[in-house]
Amino acid sequence: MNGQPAVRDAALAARENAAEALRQQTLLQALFAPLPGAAPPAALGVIQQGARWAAALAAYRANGLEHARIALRAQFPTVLAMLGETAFDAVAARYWLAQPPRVGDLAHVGADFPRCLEAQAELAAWPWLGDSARLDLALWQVLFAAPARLAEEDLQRLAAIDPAQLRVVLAAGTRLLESRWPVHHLWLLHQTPQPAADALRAAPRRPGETVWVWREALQAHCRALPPADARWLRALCAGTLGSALQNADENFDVSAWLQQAVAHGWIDRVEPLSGTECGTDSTV
Amino acid sequence: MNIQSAARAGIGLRQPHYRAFREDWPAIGFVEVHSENFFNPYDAAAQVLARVRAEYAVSLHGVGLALGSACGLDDDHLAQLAALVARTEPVRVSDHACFARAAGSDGAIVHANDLLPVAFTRGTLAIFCANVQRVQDCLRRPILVENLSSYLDFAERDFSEPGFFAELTRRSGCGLLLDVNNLMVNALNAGADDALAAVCAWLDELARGMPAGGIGEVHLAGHSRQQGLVIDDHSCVVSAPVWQAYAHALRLFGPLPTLLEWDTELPELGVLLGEAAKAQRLLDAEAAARAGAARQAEAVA
Repeated sequence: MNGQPAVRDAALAARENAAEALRQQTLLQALFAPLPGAAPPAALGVIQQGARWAAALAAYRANGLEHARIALRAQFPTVLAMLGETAFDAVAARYWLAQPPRVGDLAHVGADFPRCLEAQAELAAWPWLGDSARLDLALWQVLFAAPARLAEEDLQRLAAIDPAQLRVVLAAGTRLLESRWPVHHLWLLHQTPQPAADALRAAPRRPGETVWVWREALQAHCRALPPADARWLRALCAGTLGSALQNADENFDVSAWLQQAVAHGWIDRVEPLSGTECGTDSTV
Repeated sequence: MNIQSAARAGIGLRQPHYRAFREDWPAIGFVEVHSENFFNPYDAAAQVLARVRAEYAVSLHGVGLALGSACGLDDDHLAQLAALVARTEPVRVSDHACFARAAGSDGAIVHANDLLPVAFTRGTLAIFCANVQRVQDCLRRPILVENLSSYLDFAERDFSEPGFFAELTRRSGCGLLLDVNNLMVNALNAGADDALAAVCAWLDELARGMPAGGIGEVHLAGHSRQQGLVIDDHSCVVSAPVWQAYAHALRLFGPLPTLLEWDTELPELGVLLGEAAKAQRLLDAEAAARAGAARQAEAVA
């Protein structure tokens, strides 16, 4: 007997929760609908109708788009410079509505933006936009990565242990981006407010580039890599230091690379192989 | 140098003001920042916050927890907030009485990144109580929940808005972050003949139902009119009726830490500090009036 009211209460609570869940889902779907609905969905149960509903829905949709615009402009400055504000904002609006964010921190809202750019038919004449966006995103995301922790003992391991038994773990957030477009050159051109028109026209005819992205103190950096450096980094990510040394180009200067890596914070740690995973999130 | 904020006025610190703020170190009661802007412990903003925190009481005000979401909270978001709270040791932690998370058309959870309104029903109260409790358990401290400006109202309701917040604070142990401008925006959008009177009536009802000490902070901001609606855009100075409503709130609840918010069309820092000084004068006047009344009562006794 005593259990029955509790069961009834639980059932009522579940129904009330389900009713609110449906109401919230309905409002969210109205906000992200491709076109705003002229009348509020019945499941929403709002008082406002007609023009007042339209004004309220427009205010919420505009607020969402404004958030998207600001966040994406900050995350993709090169793409913004390439497209100009009007075209960029138009794509940002499409992206916001088609791929609503999954998290409540707008700093991470642009993860799928490069693919969205590539899917826009109107932008097909600028096929490098997706990779340029990937470079922007890598430069943005590396700022969220922990700085490298390389310590004296890591360097001692390099001197004392057989390279075949060592793994070089690159700093978190470092990225190796390969593109069939000269994305670093394009990025460089757009670091100035008004890039030279001739240089912009000629840029797509240049060969593709592999770009290395890292952070140093509070700033993100990138540089285009010669093929030998790219091959070395790819091997370093994939296997042991020993295998990377074996596969390195004949003229590749490992000592010089190590000096740079230490100076720029590219290496997080050097660890013996036993029982450890490669911790880098560098990607090829 | 300014580590105390009880019943003092503070400002919301935004990125364009960082430099001016750090040149002047103005004499204000506290600084409030948006929590999500400081989730990243490795960027320049984190360093700015650490420096500011060394000089001021800091209040963390979130926009992304979505405490009213029926689908629950985002574990990762809460973990990032907990880490920020541990780093910052803020004087207060707050977020909004809104939802933002729900299943999208594909069934996956979508986060609207906006402060979406909730119906004041028993179901919503239960959702808030569960989510607030979870946050408080995680942070090991009570939080404040801010009343919203809302452009939609729901026909179904089991509580008035002040009644809802009184019940929420009673059941969950959280406090209310009383946004007076939001009350004014809602009253204006509801077409109230006398919006100030409507806001004061709202505050009176809150005073009748709210547990003692249930309000932890007050927000003041400007609003604007856009396309048939009053929008809570924090884009201008506090309006005269909002100042009057604020004075009414102080008379009802006593001096409370008060934040001047300004988020769009940011003016020079001095303008924002001028608004904070105005709030401080009202806080001081209310404190003086209460001290005078207490002295008079003592003399009579």
